[in-house]
Order: sequence, then C-alpha cells, then structure tokens
Amino acid sequence: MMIAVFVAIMALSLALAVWSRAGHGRSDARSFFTASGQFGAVLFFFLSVGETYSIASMLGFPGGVYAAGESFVLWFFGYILLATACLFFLGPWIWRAGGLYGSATIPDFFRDHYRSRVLELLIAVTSIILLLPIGTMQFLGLRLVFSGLAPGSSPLLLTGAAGLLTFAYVVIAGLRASAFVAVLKDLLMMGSIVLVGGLAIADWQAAPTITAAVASPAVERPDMVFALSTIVLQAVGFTMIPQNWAFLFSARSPRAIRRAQVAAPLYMLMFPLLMATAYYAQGHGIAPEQPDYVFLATAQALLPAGAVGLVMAAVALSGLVILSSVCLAIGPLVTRNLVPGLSGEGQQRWSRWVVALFLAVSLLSADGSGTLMARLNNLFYFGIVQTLPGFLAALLVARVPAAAVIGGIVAGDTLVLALWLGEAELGGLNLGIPGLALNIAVLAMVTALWPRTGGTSVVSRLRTPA
Amino acid sequence: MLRHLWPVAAGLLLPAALILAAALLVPAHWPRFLGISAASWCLFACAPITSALLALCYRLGGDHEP
Repeated sequence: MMIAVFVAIMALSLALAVWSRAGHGRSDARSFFTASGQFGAVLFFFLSVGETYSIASMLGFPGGVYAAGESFVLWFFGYILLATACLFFLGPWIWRAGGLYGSATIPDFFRDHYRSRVLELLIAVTSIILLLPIGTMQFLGLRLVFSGLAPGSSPLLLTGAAGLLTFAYVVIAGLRASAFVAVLKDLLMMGSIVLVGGLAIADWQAAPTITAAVASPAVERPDMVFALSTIVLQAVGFTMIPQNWAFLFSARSPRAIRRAQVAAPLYMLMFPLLMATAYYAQGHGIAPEQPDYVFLATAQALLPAGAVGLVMAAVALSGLVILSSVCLAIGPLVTRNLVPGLSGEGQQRWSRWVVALFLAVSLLSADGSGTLMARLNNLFYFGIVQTLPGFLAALLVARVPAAAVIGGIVAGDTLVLALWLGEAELGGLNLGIPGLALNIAVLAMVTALWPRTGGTSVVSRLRTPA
Repeated sequence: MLRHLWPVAAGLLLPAALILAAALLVPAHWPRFLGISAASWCLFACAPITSALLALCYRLGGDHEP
C-alpha cells in the first residue's frame, strides 16, 4: 500500500508537469528557463518557498534537533526568515535589472551591464561549481527515503528512477513544470508535517513520557558570533542564488514578488512541528539508524502504511523540485554563458544534455560516499554571496568598472577558500564574512583608482524615460 | 529620505532585532513546551511578526518604482 501510494503520487507529479505545458506548446529559451515572466504571486510563491522546505529542511532539521539539540536552530531559522525580507526588498530590483537587459541568468546581467565576457565567465564557472554539490545532497536525501520505502532494493536503481523523473520534468516544460510540481509538493508536505507533528503532539498528551526525556538537557546557548554572522551572510546570499534569480525572472511583476514574500514567513510556522516531532521521537523510544531519518521513522510509528507512502512522496518531491530547479539553473549557465552564440532552440537542446550529465554525475557521487560534494556544499554560501557587492554597485554606482567586480570576487573567493582549507578559527565568525569584506574593499579601491567612464547605474537607466 | 528608509527599518532591521532579542534575552531556565525551549518559541514567533511587518511595508511603503 505504501509503495502504491508513493508511485501514484509520482505519476500525478508527472501528469502535472505534462499539464503545465498546456497552452505553451513551443517555447523559446526565456520561456523554458524563466517561464517568460508569466507567474503571478501564487505560482511564484510556491516556486520560491521550495527552497525553504527542501529535503534538507524536512529530514535534516528534525534530524539535527534529534541528534544535537537546538543549538543550530537560531542560525538556520534566522537566516531563512531574514532571507524572505531581503528578497522582499532586493527581489523587485533584481527583476527590473534583469528586465532591462533581457537576462535569464546572473552572468547574463553582469556581462551586459559591465560589458565584460571575463566577468560573465567567472560568475558562470563559480556558480556551476557551487551548484554541483546540491544535486548530490538531494540524491543522498532521496536514498534515505528509498531505504525506508523499499529496504531490500538497489538504491542506485531507485535514485536513478528519481533522476529520470526529474529529467522528465525539465524536458517536458522547463521551469513551468517545476512550478506546478512545487504546488503539489508543498500541499503534500504541509499535510505531512501537520499530520505527523499533530499526531505526535496528540499522542504526547496521551502518554507524556517525553516530559522526563526533555526536562533534563539545559538550553544549549549557540555560539552567538557564528550564529549571527551566518544569519547575515546567508540571508543576503540567498538573494544571489542562481535558481532564485530564475524564479524572480519568472514573476509577472515586482508586485507579485513582494506579495509572495509577505506570505513566505508564515510558511515557516511548520518548523515547530518538525522540532516537536524530533523531541517526540526522543522521548518515545523511536531510534532511527540515522538521525536524518527521524521524521520518517516517526511517521512510520504513527501512521498507517498508505499515509506513510504519502509522507515519503512529499519528502521525495521536495528533493525532486530542488533538483529540477538546479538543473534549470545549470543548463543556461552552460549553454548561454559558457558557450555563447547558441540559438534559443540550441540552448534548450544542449541544456537537456547538460542536465542529463549533471544528474548522472550527482547520482554517481551520491552512490559513492558523496564526501567531496558534502564538503564542497559547505562552501555554497561563502561563494554565492560574492556577486552581491557587484550587483549592488551595478544598481547604484555608475563608476564601478568590470575589473573592480572581477578583482573583488577573485579576492573574496580566494580568501574564503584559503581560510576554509586552513581550517581557520576566527572566534566563530562565519568565514564568508571576511571574504565579503575583502571583496567590497577591493571593489572600492579599484573603482577609486580606475573609475569607469560613460557607465550608467541600473537605477539611473530605469529612471531615464525611454 | 525617511519616507524611503522606514520600510527597510520596519521590514528588515526590526525582524533582525527581534531574532537577536529572541537569542539573547530569553532566560535559559524558562520552561519548555512540547520539548522546545522558550528561546526557540520566541524565535518562531518572529515569523508571523515579520510577515505582518512586510505586509505593512507592502501596503504603506509604496511601490518603490524608479
């Protein structure tokens, strides 16, 4: 029954992807990668909150609480919450800046604004390197789901099927399919969290063994320097994630972006339920083999088989939606930015090969230990945030030359990498902060020494009547 | 100037200050509910407050059109 429900939901997701194509038969490249900016606030909301409730949130958040208590909750919850506010203010400007140049990717915008192919290549290459581990992380999460769904079967076979399903979403309708599947995923996920968390709380009241279990540990105070610096770095870095730019460009208007961001924090009210589930498991003898399996183990303890299939499908879809959006971010980075001059049709055709390659590499990496990718994943926000100074400069300052942005990014990335490889301890300070500070300093210094002449800021251009 | 800055103060700086307050000001000995510490409950309470503040910015802050 559990497997039947799971398979039925996966089939439904595929049907939704096919349906999302209705009325949009032959699409150009911009439509394929960014849905031609046709999404209203509702579809944009579901697409963008998919990043919040990824497979890492659904499995990793309760798993972290189960294994190590609450010390990480402050920075994890804090950065996602502040990121919604950052997107509320910065998102509309990213949308307008992209619209000004007809951009579909971050490097598109930097190339056209700063008139620099080198800058385009630098941002495209670093973005691809930073996005690569996300695929592996999603497949590792999916393996965990499949280990509970079909314990005896080959994980490679099942994750391979999941990879094929993701590939189908991408090929069928590009970002439009991701958005439609994201709606299904979020409805199922909300239902699953409310169901498992609600039943855990109800059972808790009936048999409150938990009181003894959780009364003992004192509240662990997190490392404040690390927590606060991580919240700031990741909240602002969130606005520079390549797939988030694609989501922003898919919005119909800046108004749609702001409306969606108003509602986004409410969506985070499910985190207490995930946390309560972890504590319920601790106090009721639910002992999963891996901490990250605790949410699914609790679902298995409390729900009938069919409902467990639904919960597992929700978790799996949360991985597949992220996977498909990363595929749609990496595809154009290669076919628009690394390999210039392809026609719109060529970009779509070659993107499919790039996506297939990305999925295959991620799948095989997850089937190995995935250690390298897991380590690289730690670098994600350190690196992704380095484009922010250049973007803010493009918005506001006409004098900034491409060399200043290139110098800033290279200096910032190099410093972060050196600190990370040297396992530097900076009193708990997030390593991305010194990298970002150096980036800004280099950008300012190069601009002061060799200012650009004849440039115009994005804000000035938008204010100038056409 | 103030007309442009108050939405950022209300929608971004105030939520940041609330998160900070939840982390620093809630006494560690306050009782837990559903196993979750009072500090974490205060942190979670920042979400609807942030949503309300962003709604206020959306309604009263103008469109910020260039």
